[in-house]
Formats: sequence, structure tokens, C-alpha cells
Amino acid sequence: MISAAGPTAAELRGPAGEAGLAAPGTLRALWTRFQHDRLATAALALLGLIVLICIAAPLTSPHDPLATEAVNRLAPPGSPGHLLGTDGEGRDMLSRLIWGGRTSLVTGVAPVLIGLLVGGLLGLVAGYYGGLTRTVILRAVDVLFAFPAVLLAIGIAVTLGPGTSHVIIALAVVLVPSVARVTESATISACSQEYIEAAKASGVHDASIVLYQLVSNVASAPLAYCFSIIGPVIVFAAGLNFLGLGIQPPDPEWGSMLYGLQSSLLVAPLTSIVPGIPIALAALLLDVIGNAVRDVLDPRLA
Amino acid sequence: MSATLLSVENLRTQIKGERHTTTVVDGVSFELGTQQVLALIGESGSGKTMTALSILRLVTPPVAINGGRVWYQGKDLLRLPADEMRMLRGRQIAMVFQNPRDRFDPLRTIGEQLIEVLRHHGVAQNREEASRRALALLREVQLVNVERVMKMYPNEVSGGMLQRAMIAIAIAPSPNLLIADEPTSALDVTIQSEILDLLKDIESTRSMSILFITHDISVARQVADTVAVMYAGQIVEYGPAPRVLAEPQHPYTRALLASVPTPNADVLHPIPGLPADVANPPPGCRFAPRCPSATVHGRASEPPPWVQTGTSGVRCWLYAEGAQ
Amino acid sequence: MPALVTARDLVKRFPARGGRRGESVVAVAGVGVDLELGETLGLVGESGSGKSTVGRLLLRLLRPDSGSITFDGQQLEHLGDGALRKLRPRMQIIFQNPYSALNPRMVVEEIVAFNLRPARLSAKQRKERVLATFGLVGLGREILKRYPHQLSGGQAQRVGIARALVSSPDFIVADEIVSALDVSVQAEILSLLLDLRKRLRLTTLFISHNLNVVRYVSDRSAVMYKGRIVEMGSTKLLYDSPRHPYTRLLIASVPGADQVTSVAARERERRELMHELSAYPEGSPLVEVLPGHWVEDPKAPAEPGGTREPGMADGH
Repeated sequence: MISAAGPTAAELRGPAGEAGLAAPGTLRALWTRFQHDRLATAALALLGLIVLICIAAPLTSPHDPLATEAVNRLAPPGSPGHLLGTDGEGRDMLSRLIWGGRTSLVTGVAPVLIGLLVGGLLGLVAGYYGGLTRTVILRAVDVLFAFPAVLLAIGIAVTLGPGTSHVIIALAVVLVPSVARVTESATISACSQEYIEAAKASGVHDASIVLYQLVSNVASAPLAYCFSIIGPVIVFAAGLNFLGLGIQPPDPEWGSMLYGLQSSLLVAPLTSIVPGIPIALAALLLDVIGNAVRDVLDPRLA
Repeated sequence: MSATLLSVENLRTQIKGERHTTTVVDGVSFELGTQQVLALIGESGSGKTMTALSILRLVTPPVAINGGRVWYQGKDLLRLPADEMRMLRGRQIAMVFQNPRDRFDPLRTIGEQLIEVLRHHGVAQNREEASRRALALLREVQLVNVERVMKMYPNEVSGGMLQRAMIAIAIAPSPNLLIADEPTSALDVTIQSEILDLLKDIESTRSMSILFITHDISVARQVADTVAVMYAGQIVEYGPAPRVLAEPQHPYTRALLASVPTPNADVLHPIPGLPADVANPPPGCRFAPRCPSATVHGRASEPPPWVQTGTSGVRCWLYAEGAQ
Repeated sequence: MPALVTARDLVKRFPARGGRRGESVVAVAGVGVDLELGETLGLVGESGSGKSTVGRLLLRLLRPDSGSITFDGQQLEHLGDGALRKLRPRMQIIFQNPYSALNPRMVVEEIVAFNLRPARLSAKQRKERVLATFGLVGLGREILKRYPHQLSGGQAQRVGIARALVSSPDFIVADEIVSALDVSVQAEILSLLLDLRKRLRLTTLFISHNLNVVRYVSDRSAVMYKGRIVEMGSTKLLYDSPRHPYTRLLIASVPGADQVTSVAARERERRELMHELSAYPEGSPLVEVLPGHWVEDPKAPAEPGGTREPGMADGH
């Protein structure tokens, strides 16, 4: 529907330049805002550092993440040579976390991004057009909702076969309904405002109204939802990995590391919770960043 | 002249900001006699609602009352212990608001809520008596089919009916003073006019006084015995309603009257400029920047004096001694 | 004079809230109006009378269930989206609440310029048009980059008016445009509207619940009650000699109009009018009692398509 009445390239270029709609202004605002918000800046810097360390895993990891040391199992954090200790197979925890971060961050962020795009679009269209369009979209979404999220993800992943990209797709499908619902209700409430009626009365194509007037007013709810869900998604992805649907052992990944150490919780409590720290940290940092982004989108708070 | 029921002296209410303190009610004084309607007229931001909330001590931080006295039956409400004040509120001084729907519990019937108020204030000893009284009150506010109304939920009745029910709840404990904050602004004209006349009826049958807060001069004209016109936190003109509305003295009152369309008005005269910013008021007279007859005094840093003549008063340099 | 906007027998139902499936509320029950080029028709009524729905039907922001709408010779009721979009710049709307009518995340310049998108102008031309319109409504260029929450109520409403005018429309629906404003600002906006009407030859449907306001701005007035127009005529005639009991009730209810009569007498008068109104048969045909003055008359023969056509009176 959007594409049928889609804006021409000229239309898209038009006002964004002169009358400064959306992109450039927002990015600039984002930057000024982050400069003033020390907490958000720190969160962004720390997250950036974590991402960099993970990307540069071959350089940053002190050990081979797969090398086992049978005599040195479940070493506590701070052990000589193993800053964060070792796991049940005697592999260096820090190295595994650094290597595993590559997979975990991707499986945490990618499904959320895909879910945001697809679910957001469905929610916008459903909320904006209402009527039959809305009914069809929401019924379809409800069908997905009807399945327990875990079963649905497992079902999809099993159908597609093992592989990280399949886990991402499975998780994205699970996320679409909730993002669509959140976006739809935000859209409905924005559309009840008179400025949307004014836009409809202007003779401008629907796609431009949605793009320039609606998206910026609707975005904060699904964005906040998505930023908050990345942490749980990492853990959820770990569950799929644990079932052998994603990355295969012995390759490291935060969530499966956490699962793997579950049985050692009583024996070596400190070591067992170490993989949970990066998950919690990433979730926390993303939440802080998400809040700052949401504030930037609201000029009333500027 | 009737006895004074409420006397406000030099009331001052401020909002404390991080850097800046804003005086939203700045030295407000007025008197309200028994069985009288005083209309407090002002535009949004003039401090009229803050004045009412301050009288009831219903302001919460960062808003705080910073001075003045509110004499009610020989007691200064601002210095009354909190529990005594709580007893007074609702029982002796009741309030009616603009949007009754926000004030009702949507999950309980109008009857239940009315009965609860009656029992809470000890007006009725048991349920039967409360129920009987509730019916009488609903009849008093000119509702019909009162037995049915008792069983209805707030969302089942119209705005006008709900405002009547709200008034019934307010007058249930037989208060001496009713504070009505824009009680008809959200209603249709025909309903508005009914509610206004209902308030006038109640005022005379119950010998009650009403502090009526409104932005609408025409509404004030219909109900008020006395009017006080507020501008930027201060009362600029005060006096008997017929006099003030027929021969306004303060340039702001005049301008306000000239800006309202009436059946006889051919041309409207908008007030030039923007309302004074209470957070940063002009140094002298607050209306001076918009005033067609501002004097040198008004524009300068001297605040205008309060000029009292009989029952009328005006805060303006034009009427100061020797200013002519 | 030719009519720019004509509507006949407009009917609009909405699904009943909380009601069963298929139940509906009739918001507009057979309304016909004509707006001559350059005239201002005041539409008075209380909340729920259907006046705002009529405004949105005339602009085809809502689709009527039945009836016809003509704008400058074109039938609107069955027009497709594309053809309607082409007409939209020529018919505009101004809203009651100036703040909710402006997108909180756009600056004033973007808000006004948005309505120029269909005109496909260059950035420079667009800016010139926005500035020219600003001049027309008395706004300065210093507010171009402000967000709506940084404007005063009067400024925000002027921006709303500028947005409606920037595409040089012929027809404007002004829906309760001063009801949310402070009295001193109301006067400013009403004076602006009168001034613009003179300068731009705008045809305006002025919707308001405030009789004094309608009386002040409109040439002709129509009174709506329960989805129908019950009386229509020149503003002066309508206010000086109202015929329909509802019109009389409305006029009797204007606050502060009459201080001589006692409260009791006023209440009695209203009760009598209410009684008369409840006894008055609904949906009677409109009859021309004086040239250009139409009133619902229960005594008139109810012929379909007969007298219930408040077309242009011969006297005009």
C-alpha cells in the first residue's frame, strides 16, 4: 500500500533539504543532546568500546576461546592468567566472552532491527488506514501471538535448520507482532490528533504524511520497546542455541555460556554468573541510550 | 451590606523553580459577603485558579503560599492546623470543578458516591437516611428521574447532568462557601445557562456564598454580585458587578470588555501585545506595555497604587491622586 | 451569485460506541446548504448536533452515506482519492485547538510548507510563499524555526490559519477556531478572519457553539439541532426574529445577555421553550418564511424533494 502511493525521489529529497524535515536535524539534535547528557555519552562510549573489543576479538582475546585446560576448571574470576576465570571445560572465560560477543550482539540486535522495521511498518499502515486494512493486519498478528513465543521461534528455527541467520529470522518473526501492536496503538493515538487530519486535508500523498508527519510522532514507543528488549532477546537466542538451533558448541556465545554454567551455580557461584554480566550490561547501556534517543525525538524536552 | 464570610488579605503564592521564583498570586485581597457571588475574572495564567487553591490550601510543592491571611469566620485558614483545615474543606467550603467527569469514580454509581459523601461528613446516620437525603439533593439540583440517576454510572449521564450531580455532592454537607472553578466552561450554552441559574437558586435558598472563577465576562455578568478582575497575578479592579461591567475603570477591564463579541458590538478591539509573563513581569504596571493610556508612572518602575473609592477599587496610575 | 459549495440531503452515520454490531448513530440527518462565493455562513449548534461532521463532509474528509456535495461544479461524493487530492489545496480547514492541530515535532516553517508539497515549488518559491502568507496573517519570520509549544495560543492559531491559507484556497471550514482561546486572543483572531475574508474573498463555513461569535462574523447563519438544520437565514434576521423554538432557546441561553429578567423568569422562559421544542415534530420540511429565511415547519406538507431544499433564495 505504501509503495503504491509512494513518494517520488524528488518528493523525498524536496523538503528534507530546505525546510529541514526529519533526518539532518534529528542527527544534529542527537549529537548535541548526547554532548549534554553525560550518562548517555558514557553509555554510548562504553557500548562502543565493547563492540570494538568484540570485533577485534583475534587481537583482544588473551587466549584461544576453544582451548581447554582440564586441570583448571571453574577457576574463579581473578585467577592468574584467567582474569574472569574459566568455565566447566577449563576454557578462558574472558576470551570466550569476547568471541561470543560477536554472535550475541548480532543475534540480539539484528532480530530487533528487523522486527522494528517490519512490525513498525505493519503497525503504521494498520493504524493509519484503519478499517479493513487494520483488521487484516491485526488478525494476522494475532495468529502469530496465539503461539507461545518460544514454541514459535523453535518451530521456525527447526523448519529453517540450524544456523545463526535462521535464529535471527525466527526471533524477528516472534518480535513482529508485539512491535506491530505497540506501533499501531501509538499510531491510532497520533492519528486522532488534528494535525494528521490537517495533513490529510492538504492534498499530500498518504506516504508523505506517514513519513513526515506520523513516523516522528509514533517512533518513540516502538523504539523504547525495542531498546528494552535487546537484552532479553540475547538470552532468548541463547535458549535456541542451547537447543542446538543456532550456533553450535563449542563456539562461544553469551547466552549459551550462561546456560552451560547453570549446573555449576552451587559449585562455583561467582564464575557461573560471569556470562550474565555482559548481557545485563549491554541491556542497561542500550536502555540508557534508548531513553536519550527518545528524548531527542521530543522537541518539547530540548 | 451583608456580613463578611471570607476575607482574603494580601495573599501571595509562589512557584519555586530551580533558578527563578515566580509569584503567581501577588498580593490578592478581596472580601466575600454572606449570600454573595464574587466572580474572579481572568485569562489563563492570571492566577485565578491558584488563588482559589491557595484559599483552600490545596497547593503542593513547588507551589507554596508565601504570605497573607485568609479570614473565614474569624479563623485564619492559612494558620489553621492541617487536620482542622481538612475538616473544613468539603464540609464548610466545597468546590465544583470544570470537568466533573474527572472527579467521579467511573466504577461506582452516582448514588453510591453521593451517599458516601453524606455518611463521610456525618450528615446522615444510616444508609436509609443517606439515601433519602441523596434523592432530595438530586431533586434540589433539578434533576429528574432521580431514582434512576442514583443507579447510573458517571459515563451513562450527560456532562450537564454530571455537573448537577457534582453540585449535589458539593452542597451535601451544607457548606457556607462554594468555590466554583469554571463550572460551566465545558458545557453547551443551553446547559450552561441552566447551571448558572441553578447556582444562583442554591445561593439564595441555602444562603450560601459562591466564589466563582471564570474567564468569561458574560458568565460573570449573569451570576456575580461583585467582580474582581485579575491580570498577571494581581487584582486590577474590584467592585459591584453592575458598576464594573458597565463603567469599567481599569484599562484592562475596558479592553477585555471591548474584545468580547456581544449582540451590540459592531467592532471588536483586540488587546494589543501578549499577556504579561508572570515569571518576568514588567517593572511598573503589569498592563502598561499593552495599555492605551499608560502614564509615565506606569511605564516606569513604580507599581501602581491601589485606589479605593467606596466599595470599588482599581490598581492604576490614572486614578492616583494628583495623576490627573 | 453562484454557489461555490452546495450540499443536498447529506446523511452521515457513525458506528455506535459501546453498541452492538451494526448499530449506528445518525450524526447528520439530511442537511442541505449553499455557500455563495465570498460569503461566510455561520453554523451554530451544541456539541453532538453534527455541525463539525457537516464541515468535514463538505471537505470530503468524511464520506457521506448519502446525499451530494458540489464544489465549484464538481461532484465530490464519489470522487476518487487522486482527484480529491488535486482539489484539496482549494478547500482547507482550521481547527479548534491550535496546539493539537500543529505537529509537535515540526517547526512552524515545516508545518506551513507541508501544505505546499502538492504545488511542487522550488525551495525558494516555497519559502517566499510561506513568508507572504505569514505577512497576511500577521506573523513575523522570527517564529519560522520555533516548535508549536514555543508559541502563544494566538500565534499558534495564526500558524494554523497560515497553513490553511498558504495554498490559496477558495473555501475554508473554520471549526470552533476561537473556542480554545483566551478572550483577548479571540478578538484578535476574529478580527484577522474578518480582514482576510475581505482581502481574499474567502468562502467560509464558520462553525461555533458561541452565538455571539457567529453573529459577529457571519453573513448568514444556520442552526443545527440533532443532525438537522432547523433554521437558516441572514444573521441579522435570525437573531432578531428567531422562529424555531430551538433557535429561541439558544438565544435565550446566551449568558449575560439579559440582566433585567430575574432568575426565576429566565428559568420559566427556558422551560416553556424546552416544552415547545419537545412537542415540535422532528424532521419537518424547511419552509421559506421570509426571503432567505428558512425554518423547519411542522405544518408544511412533507413532500420528498419538495420544500426541504434550502437552496438559494430568490431574494439573494
